Order: sequence, then structure tokens, then C-alpha cells
Amino acid sequence: MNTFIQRFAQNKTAVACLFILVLITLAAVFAPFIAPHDPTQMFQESRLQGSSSDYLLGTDQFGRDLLSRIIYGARVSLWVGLSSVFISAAFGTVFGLLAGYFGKWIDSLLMRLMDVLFAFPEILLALAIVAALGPGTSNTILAIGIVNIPIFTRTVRGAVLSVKNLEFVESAKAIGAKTGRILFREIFPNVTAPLLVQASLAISGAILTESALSFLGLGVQPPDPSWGGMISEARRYMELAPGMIVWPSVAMTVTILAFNLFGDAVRDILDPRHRSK
Amino acid sequence: MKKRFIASLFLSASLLLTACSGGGSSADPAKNPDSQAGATGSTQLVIAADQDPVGLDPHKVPAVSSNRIYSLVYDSLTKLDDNMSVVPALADSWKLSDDGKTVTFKLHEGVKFHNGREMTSDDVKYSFERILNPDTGAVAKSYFSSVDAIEAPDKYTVVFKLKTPDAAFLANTASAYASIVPKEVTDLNKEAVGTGPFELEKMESGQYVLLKKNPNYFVEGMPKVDSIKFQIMKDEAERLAAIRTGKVDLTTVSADSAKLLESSKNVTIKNYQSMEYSYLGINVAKKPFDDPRVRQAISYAVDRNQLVQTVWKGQAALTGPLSPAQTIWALDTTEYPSYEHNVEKAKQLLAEAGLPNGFNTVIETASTYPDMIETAQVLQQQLKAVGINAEIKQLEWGNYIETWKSKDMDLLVGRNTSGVDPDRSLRFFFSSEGSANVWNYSNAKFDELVQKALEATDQTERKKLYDEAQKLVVEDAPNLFLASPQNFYAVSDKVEGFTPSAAGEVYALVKASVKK
Repeated sequence: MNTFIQRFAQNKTAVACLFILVLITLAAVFAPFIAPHDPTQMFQESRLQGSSSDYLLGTDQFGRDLLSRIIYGARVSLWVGLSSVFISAAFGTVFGLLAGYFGKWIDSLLMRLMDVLFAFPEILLALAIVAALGPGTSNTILAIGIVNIPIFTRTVRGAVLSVKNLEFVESAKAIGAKTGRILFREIFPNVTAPLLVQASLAISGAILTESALSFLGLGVQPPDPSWGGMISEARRYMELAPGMIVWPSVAMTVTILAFNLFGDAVRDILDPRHRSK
Repeated sequence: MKKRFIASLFLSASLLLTACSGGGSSADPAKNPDSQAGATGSTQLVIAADQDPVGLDPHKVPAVSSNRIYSLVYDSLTKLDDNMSVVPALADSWKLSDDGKTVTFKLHEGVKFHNGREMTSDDVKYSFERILNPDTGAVAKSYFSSVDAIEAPDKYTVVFKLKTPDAAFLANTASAYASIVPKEVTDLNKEAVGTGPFELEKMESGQYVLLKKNPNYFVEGMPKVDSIKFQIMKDEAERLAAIRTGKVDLTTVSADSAKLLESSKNVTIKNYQSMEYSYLGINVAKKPFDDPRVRQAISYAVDRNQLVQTVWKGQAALTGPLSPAQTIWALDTTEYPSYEHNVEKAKQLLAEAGLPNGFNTVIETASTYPDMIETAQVLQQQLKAVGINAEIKQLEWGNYIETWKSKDMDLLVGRNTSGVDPDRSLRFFFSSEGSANVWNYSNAKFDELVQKALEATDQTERKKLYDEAQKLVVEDAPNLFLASPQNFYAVSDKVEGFTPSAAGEVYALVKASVKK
């Protein structure tokens, strides 16, 4: 573990991304203290304004403070990203462990099921689920969570297959360890690395999907701010108040980039084969 | 596996197509052979249309995107002019019997359908019987519920026998939903054969609709252009770019875009007071909205002027159940006490209704229309000030229509066309039996007023009855009438004589010409 931290500290991208992610997380957690205004309060007299001392990033068509909305939007994005990935990772891990370890019909059944989910383009499946459940934040989380289960299942299954015939598993079996113990105490620690990498990449994907759904009006419902929803609203006012579309886009780009680069860097650090590159 | 592969391929392809459709239009008029017409001396008007027509049967398809096309292909017995007065179309003249129960139309002689056959009283009889036949599912069926029998004594005379006097009858015959169709064409969605100023030439789904001039049109000198092409452009930004670059000659735009185009050199903005209004629908059957004091409280809590300023950028008028464009009938909004924005009064009414701390509710609206989403957000903030916490739910269009029909919503934000006659605006939307009364609203006094007004033959009496009905429905507040927007057209300087009005697009289009 110490070598991991050492390597991490040497990787400048990883450190920089972690710094950005920590900043965003802090902003999201302490939003009520940081945001200069209530994100839903409409200042009638200050519609579609540019940057000023009162409104650092300007205001939207209702006269709501853009900076406050972006800060609160980070909350939504992170919450949706983390919780949906938690759902996918939890189910994906269990399915992957079962499929990889037991093989035979369990493997076939689970993996064919995953193939079915995989066959749909991600956003289409998410749209279908949200359309069936109705719009809203929690349904968005559920939809994105379901959509991402197969990729976690595959990742975990692959990792399980590579270790399940190694000596330490054989010896655990030989001393009569129960299946549950073998799965979670012997095999699981060996799949955490790929799982972590996959999770950090999936979070950025989940944030993007949330934005896409909100852009279409099916994700987070107004007046709660979400970056995708803000960009969608801004389309009509692009020429009158460019800040409305620029700032949420910047916030989203930075966040997604940070998550992706962070994920890549962690993979490089954990995987000996990538290290030299 | 193969099937699954094909299915996923199909799904991804359709997604890709959806994603692409927002972008540039694939049918560039300059490259399209159909628009070569301009080169040979004939004139073409290119109009950006925001939606594909979804069928062209004028009796069955109410969609605006279809209406603007079939209104050019068909004629009705009468039409409305700029002042909303009924003027002759296929009928040259008409006569009302003294008891108001017989209407006799004299048809224009020598009018030909696009297939060359002469239009006669038989076609009129056939068209109206088709509308009245329940199997047709015609949009205008309820417009003509007073019709008892239709007679065609000779080739150019049609007589309508009415069960009761019907003051709205004449105005209703002007509707495009009451177009006169030829009796020999069985599927009007496949073939469009009318008497109108334009003939359907070609229709490419998702791309364009091409209409060419009817050389035998019965109105002398009309239409002025040789062809009209509706270019389908679903995105506002796309239409805005197209009118700026001269790809299209004419398009409807939002108030925001109109503002942006004001500085454009080759584009003029033309606007008019529309017949539409935005509303907040309230389900009268649901608690706590069954208490009229709660509905009144909501009305006092709403600041309609803020909606006009924020959602419509000041380009809208305050409105009652009749849009201000219905100049003769619409009451001034100062007649409605509950239009005052008064938070204290709202709170007091809520307290009287036993809800001093407000309540939680849901506002549903359509995700397709930005103005509705914005209206919902402003309303939500205003209701919050009196303790009513509303959660907004944006619904996809099909889902929204289902919700509207379900009669089971709480609050719903929408937009209505109040129609040319007060009968539609009041009886159709709010009488107990009204087909668009989805609010479970039922007031015997209101029903009586609008029925009496329909049967009244004296205009002053009719006006008095409608005044009373308007006040009553505003006081009962099954809907809050919010704002009636201006509609905007961006028109290229190449186009002359196009003056849009609430009378409808067709009325302006037949008079429009294009500079060569």
C-alpha cells in the first residue's frame, strides 16, 4: 500500500486530478455555505446579466445566480454519479463473482442476461427506464445504475477467472473453507484494483448520462439545478447571455476530464504492465 | 445472437438519426431539384416548418403541423378575415331563417377540385355528413352538434337544418376542420385533393412538403406564388440560422429570437396578438383544490405580470378565458378581482380553507415546450411565497397528453387556443359536458349561461351572457388564465404582402408574393 501512495505521489496527473476532485466534492458538500445566493431564488430585476460583483458568473433568464446554480449542480452530478456507480458496482460484483467462480449454467445465464443489457445503447436503455419509471433524480440514479451493471459484471468476472485456479484458492478449498469465505475473503481482494479503476471511469460516464437525461428534461426536475438541465435551458439564450451555456459546460468538462484522467492514472499505477509507459 | 445484433444495430441507427436530426437540414434548397423552379422564372416561397405533418385528412388530424398544410389545399364554406368576421369562401352568400334554425348557403359556381371535377352541393353534404359520422372521429364533430339534417336541393344550394339556434355555426364553418372534400377520395391521408389555392406536389417525411399553385383557383389573381415549400426544421436555432442566411424566406420564431433578428438587414419581424393563452389547470375534484377558496388563493398568489415579463419577455397580454385577440368578446382583465397579486389575501384564503401552513402538490408540464417549463418554474416560486410547495414534473409529449386526458392531475401548465368564437373558448373547455373539460369542473349556472348564449340570436344578449360566463369561470378558477403571447414571424425582404394575423397563416400566405 505504501508503494501505491509513493507511485501515486509521483504521478502528477493523478495528484492534480485528485486535487480538482476534492475541490469539487468540498464545493458540493458545503454548497449552502459557499453559494452566494439561493440557487432557485429569482431576482426579477436582474435577468440575463453578465458577470458582476453581485452575480460573479451572471444570471439566467429568471434572474437566478449562475454561480450558485453551478455549485448546487455539482451536488447533483456527484450524487448521481457516486450513487449510481455504487448500485452498478454492488450488483456487478456479486454477479461477476458468482459467474466467474461457479461457471457452467450460472455463468451462461448471468452473462447472457448481461449481453441483453449490453445490446442496447447506454443512453437508449436509460431513456427507456426513466420513461417507464417517470422523471426525477432517484429514478435517474436507478436507471444509470442498471445500465452500468453489465460492464462491472464483466470486469469482475474476468478478474475472478484469472485467480480462481491459483494455489491460494486451491489451498483454501483444501482446508475446507466455505464458498462464501473463498469468494469474499480470498478472491474479492484480488478484484478490487480493476473495480476501482472501472468505478472512477464509470462515474464520469454516469455524470454525462445524467446530463443527457436532464438535457432532455427527464432527469433532475426544475428548479433544482443540474448542469445538463442548465445547458438545455441556455440553448434559447445562447446569444443573449452566453455565460448561461459557457459556465455549466466548463464545470462539466473539468469534472469529467478530472474523473477520466484520474481513472487512467490509477490504472497505470496499479497495473505493472502500464507502469513503464 | 444475429437477431439481437440486428435489433441493436437498428436501435443504435435510430438513435444516431435522432441525434443528427437536430443539426443542419439535409435538404439544401439550392441543391434540391424541386427548387430549380426559381431559375425558370417562377417563384417559390420557402417556409421553415417546426414539425412534420402527421397526416393530411382535414377532418381527422388536428395537429398544427398538418393544419398549416391542408388549409392551403382545401377550402371551407366560409373563412375569417383579419377582423375575425366571417366572409365568403366556397359559399358566396348565406341566409339565416327568422327562427335561426335554417341556414342556406349559395355556393360559388364553377369551383373545381384539383382532379378537375366540379365541386357541388353533394360534396358539401358529403363532407359535413362525414364530419358528423361518429365513425370518422372528426375533430369538428362537436362544433356541429346542433345540425339536424343537411339538404342539397340543387347543384349550388346547401341547406342546414339545426335543432336549436346556433350562434357559433357560421364561424365554425370557417374552420379548416370543416374543409370541403371530394366524395370519391376514400383515404384523405394518402391523397390530398381539395379546391384550395395550392396542390400537394410532393411530401418527403422529415425533409419537406412541396405545394404548387392551383392554376384554376376560383379566387381571381390568387395565390401570388407558384409554389410553396415547407422545409422541416425542428430546432429553433436551425430556423434562426436558416432565415439569417436566406435559406428560407419565412419562419415562425420565439420572442427571444425575434429580438435577435431585429438588427438583421434582410429580415423583417412581423407580429400579432395570438389566439393562444397559457394556463395553470387545477383539478377541481382533488383535495385541497375542491375548495374554491384554495383555487382563489392560488390566483391571488400568482403575479401574472412577472410571467409576461419573464417567460414572454413582455411580448404577451394578460388574458381571461378569451384571448384579447377576440376583441369583441373578451372582457378586460381589470374585471377580474382575483387577478390582483396579493400574497396576504392568498394566505388569508388558505387559512380560511383550513390550510394556514400551505400544502405540497405537483405541477406537471411538457418537456417539449420551453415556455411551459419556464411558466411552471415561475409559478412554483410564486406559490412558495404563500406556503404551497409544488414539485415540477416535466413529461414527454405523449405522456403529457395522457395526463391531460386522465383527469387525475393536480396542477398542469399548458397552452390553449381559445378559438375564434367564444363558444369554443367557454363551452368546449369548461362546460360540464365540454370535450376539453378535463378539470372535473361542473357548474350548472355556467352550463346554462353558455348554452343560452349559443342559442341566442341577439348579439347584445349573447355578449351579456358571455360576459357573465367569463366572470364566473374566472371566479371558480378551474384554470388560471395567465398570458396570451404575441406570435412572431421572421420574413425575408424578398417576400411582399405577407401580413400574419390571428385569422391564420393561410389568409396571409395566399396574398404573399416573392420578388424575383
